[in-house]
Amino acid sequence: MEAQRWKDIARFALLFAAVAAYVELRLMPWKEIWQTVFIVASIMFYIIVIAVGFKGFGDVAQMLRNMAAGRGASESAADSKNT
Amino acid sequence: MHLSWIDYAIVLIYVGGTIIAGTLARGAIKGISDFLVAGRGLKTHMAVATMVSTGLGLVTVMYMAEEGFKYGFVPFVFGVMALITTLIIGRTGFIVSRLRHLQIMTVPEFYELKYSRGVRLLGGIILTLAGTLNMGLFPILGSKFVVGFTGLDKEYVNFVMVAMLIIVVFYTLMGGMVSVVLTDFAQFVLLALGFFFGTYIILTHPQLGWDTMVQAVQTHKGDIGFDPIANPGYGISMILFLFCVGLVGVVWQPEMMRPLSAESPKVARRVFWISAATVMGRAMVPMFWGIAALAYFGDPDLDPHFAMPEMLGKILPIGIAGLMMAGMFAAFMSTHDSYLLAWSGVIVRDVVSPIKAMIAKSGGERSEDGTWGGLSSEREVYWVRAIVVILAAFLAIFGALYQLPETAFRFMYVTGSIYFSGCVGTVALGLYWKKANTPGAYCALVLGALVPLNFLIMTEYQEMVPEFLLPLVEDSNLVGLTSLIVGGLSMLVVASLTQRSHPPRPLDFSDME
Repeated sequence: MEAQRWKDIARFALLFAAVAAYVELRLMPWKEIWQTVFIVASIMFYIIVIAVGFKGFGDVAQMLRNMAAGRGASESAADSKNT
Repeated sequence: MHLSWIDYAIVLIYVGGTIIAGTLARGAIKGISDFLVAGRGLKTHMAVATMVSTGLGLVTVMYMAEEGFKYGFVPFVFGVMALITTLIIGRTGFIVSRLRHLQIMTVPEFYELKYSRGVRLLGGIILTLAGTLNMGLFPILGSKFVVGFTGLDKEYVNFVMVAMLIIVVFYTLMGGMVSVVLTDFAQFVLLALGFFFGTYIILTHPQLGWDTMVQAVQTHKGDIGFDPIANPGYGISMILFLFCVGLVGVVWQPEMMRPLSAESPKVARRVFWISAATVMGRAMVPMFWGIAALAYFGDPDLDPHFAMPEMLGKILPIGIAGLMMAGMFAAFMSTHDSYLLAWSGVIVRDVVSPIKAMIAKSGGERSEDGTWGGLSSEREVYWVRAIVVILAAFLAIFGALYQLPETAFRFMYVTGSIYFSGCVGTVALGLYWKKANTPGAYCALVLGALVPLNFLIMTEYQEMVPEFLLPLVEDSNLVGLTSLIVGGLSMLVVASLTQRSHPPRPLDFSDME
């Protein structure tokens, strides 16, 4: 398990080195790189926002119901783990 | 004034809603673990929402926009580095999983488990110092956004700051972390909408658009507005620093409170994995707005703290402007509440409570309710609430009086380094290096903090600094990187030399999820 984690770190380091080399070699002008990166960043951001917004809404509703019932946060957490 | 009554109505509805939620949340607080880590019951999606919201405060929007305004597209590299480091943490659980497994509420609590009560006290004091300094600019920057966006006279900046702080303090006092989580979720949704509409309108505005912004950066900055390696304000040292601090930055208490509030170490790790997809957008969208402000006004000498919100206030239509304002107000509140709670929690649990325990000569054992023999759980909640009020008053005074040495972004990173530098040795090595011990922890904390502290003091008296020390005053990138190296090396050297006199305490992670 621990060895696998270090392998993952090494993979990310390799990926980073590859990206850095790619940039350094100027295969693409900086202006185009930033435009591409900005588009990718925006798409990733909104996909996660939509997914988390929908799924998290149920959790928030449950939390509000627990609060309205006067239950402590720890009690609610314990109940949730048991069910 | 740029806004209509509809926009103000949207803001008022949001503020009213958060005050009601804060009042409701009071009922969910039965002890210190409810107040500081919401009973450790956060599920993955809520934890992601609240973590993204805390990392994306109004102050973040302001200083990211300032970087875009001053350096063009170059700061985008920050988003790329943040993505890489968050993915590494999400995949490996680096630091996060182990700290969550230990069931602590604050990071210095780890110091008592691994080292000693004295290290915890020192760590708590350094974290408090770094944290409150780091947060010093938050309220004033938030207030500048509101003033710039609404078109209010600039002389009202301090009044707006105090009013916003009062609202935040109210609901944080009421429901602690439970309030924070609820408002964070609202902010998550509102701010995402604001980001979307703000960016869309900038891209389609006749005076703006991508090509116009690229042209503006080329005109005002030249090629160094695009190339992060050639830009003297960035370069390899800044990129390396961003990478290191991205990994260690996870121990920043307001950031760490989310994984520590998660249901399990597995959920804590997953929170980072999912939120990694948002970190680039969180950084780049405000930077993009800063560049848009440069293109819109065409004057690089303007104050970027006012330029970006003024531009948004002028180009956004009625309704969208209100939504943006509510989103930004939410961003202000969610960061302040989290930070106030985090630093107050550290002051009470890691400074006041250990001192009381030392005076009472109580043993260093953790009890069932999460206390350590100092203050009782109820007294800790009481004191956290009192410190929240005191901190808010300090922030109002500091924000009104302090003058920035460089940009707000650099100030945040240098003040953060006061704490991060010690964490390389104490937390990262403490969790992963079996030989990490108490003398090493003391040295890592003290020596690591000295470099950035020296920078903050010396920048005020630059004419008195000897020539050979000038690089450590003029270049904040070098300061940050040096402090991290010093912090790590101190632990490695001192712990290696003192293994016999101070054998390290073992930690057991064999049953970790």
